[in-house]
Amino acid sequence: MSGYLDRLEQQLIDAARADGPERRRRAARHRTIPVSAAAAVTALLVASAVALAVTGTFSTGSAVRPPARPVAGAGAGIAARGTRLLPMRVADPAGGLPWGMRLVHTTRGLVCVQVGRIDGSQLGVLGQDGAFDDDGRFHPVAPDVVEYHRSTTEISSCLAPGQTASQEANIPQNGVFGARHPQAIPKSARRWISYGLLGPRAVSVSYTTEDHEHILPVARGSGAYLVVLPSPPKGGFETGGGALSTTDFVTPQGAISSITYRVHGTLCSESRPASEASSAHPQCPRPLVAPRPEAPRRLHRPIAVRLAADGTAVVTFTAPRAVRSALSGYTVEIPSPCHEGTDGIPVERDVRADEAVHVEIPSAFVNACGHTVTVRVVYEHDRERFPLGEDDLIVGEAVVKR
Amino acid sequence: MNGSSRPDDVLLRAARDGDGEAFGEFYRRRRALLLAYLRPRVPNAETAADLLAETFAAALIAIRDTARSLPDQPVAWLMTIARNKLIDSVRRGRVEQAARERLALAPLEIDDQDIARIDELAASTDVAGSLAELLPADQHAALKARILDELGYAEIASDLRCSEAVVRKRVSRALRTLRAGLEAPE
Repeated sequence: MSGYLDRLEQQLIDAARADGPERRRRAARHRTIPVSAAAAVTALLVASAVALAVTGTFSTGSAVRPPARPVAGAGAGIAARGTRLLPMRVADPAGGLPWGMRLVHTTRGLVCVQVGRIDGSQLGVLGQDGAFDDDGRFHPVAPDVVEYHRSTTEISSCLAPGQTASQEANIPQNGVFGARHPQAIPKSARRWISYGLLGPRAVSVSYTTEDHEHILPVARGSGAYLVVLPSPPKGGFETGGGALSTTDFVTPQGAISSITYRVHGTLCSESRPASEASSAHPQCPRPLVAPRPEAPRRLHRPIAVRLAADGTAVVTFTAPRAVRSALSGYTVEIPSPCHEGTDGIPVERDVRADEAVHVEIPSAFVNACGHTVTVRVVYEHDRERFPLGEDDLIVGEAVVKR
Repeated sequence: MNGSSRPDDVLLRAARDGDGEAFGEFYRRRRALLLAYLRPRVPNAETAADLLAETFAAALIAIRDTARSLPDQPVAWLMTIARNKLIDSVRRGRVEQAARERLALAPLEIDDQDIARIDELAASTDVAGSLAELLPADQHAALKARILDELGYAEIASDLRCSEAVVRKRVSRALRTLRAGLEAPE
């Protein structure tokens, strides 16, 4: 049973069963806020892989598409002008198809990075280690398959224009998660990928292998870099990590030990902290005094909340501002003081000013501390920045009783 | 009919009680009909597959809602849901996923073999023949001409040798029959 129609049948059977997944659903759609910037952006998606010590050509298999048809005005949008495969090619430690990067500019203002194996002019993943039924083929990845769509097929992440990032992923060498459990992938078939976009001031990155230091120039303009090493030195196979910055300089991640920038004609380096417990020691010049963010304005607009019998809350509000890109937007939040966090469901689409927006929050009381929850609608002018600042709005709040 | 001989309404009753296999059987039995209806009306097989999944997900949600009565005409009911989903998708420029999200159904990848299978199923299924089981002959003829063959009322009237008013009435009655008591989700 492997075709689309058969898999759909199995899904429906499971859902129709009395103990179907309906009540377990949607946890993944809840975003916990605040989150570290690294966790928010890094969507390094992992799975399995086998030794690809094979050289030669691969026949082409089915293309990897986004899980849902992308639209220009929602989510990440669709790939737009400026999307391109970068010329860099990085050899895999075991040979075979090289690795490469694609920059995807989207209709909603994001700049997304895709990392994968390169066959000719295509970026893709390989059907091995449980992926694509081990068909041994090269599967091209469509430009619209990006982190924002919660795809689990490749390495990708999306940034706001001007943001810089240094990221890592410990993934199978075929570049894709397959059906096989990650722990079943032998260490020899894993790869430690370090990649990023460092911006126009970046000059090079440094990393060390077997006591030998490598200095790798980054791509001019974008500051893109890609390093592919054999299996990571420690665990964390299923996770990725990374650091973001909106001030040009970013702390190195993964195998990268330092990043060199050119600032006002002078070279300076940012180094990785000596250990996870210590903090980074920035060396490149920064503004002496960081501006203190002002609190967001409160509009005290009415928020309507209708509670369904199954615990789903339908929140309705009138949007005070239009949303035209993925960089800003509305989020419906439910603070949970006793869990020290906030559940939030972002409205991931364009919104007209004065539009009535409806947001469904399943299991609204899942993290409730008592018999009531507060539902808050916020407008984030810059979704990458925490906490809310003067450009942001708290549209309104409502208290809902269980 | 494939599989067991349990009628559709029995399958839906069983599905309401948590019998997943019963709903699976209903899906297997009717998916070809839906694909045959949807595929010619959308630009590609992927969209037809999307609509198929959303339609059955919406149907399952409706079935599990004990506040609703189960449909008297399951096939007509299912077709009505599919038609609503199709119209919505044209209006919005995309196939909605609300029902699938509500059921926590993960997105499914579709490959070239799936596309070929969907096209084959769609091409080999007679929608009109299936609808003929549900409607009186005169209503079926009018509805088929209007909805499936997309002919104008005047043309149909000429073919059926009756007035346009009669054609309109038959189409209207046929649609009402299909929708009767269906409470199809929007």
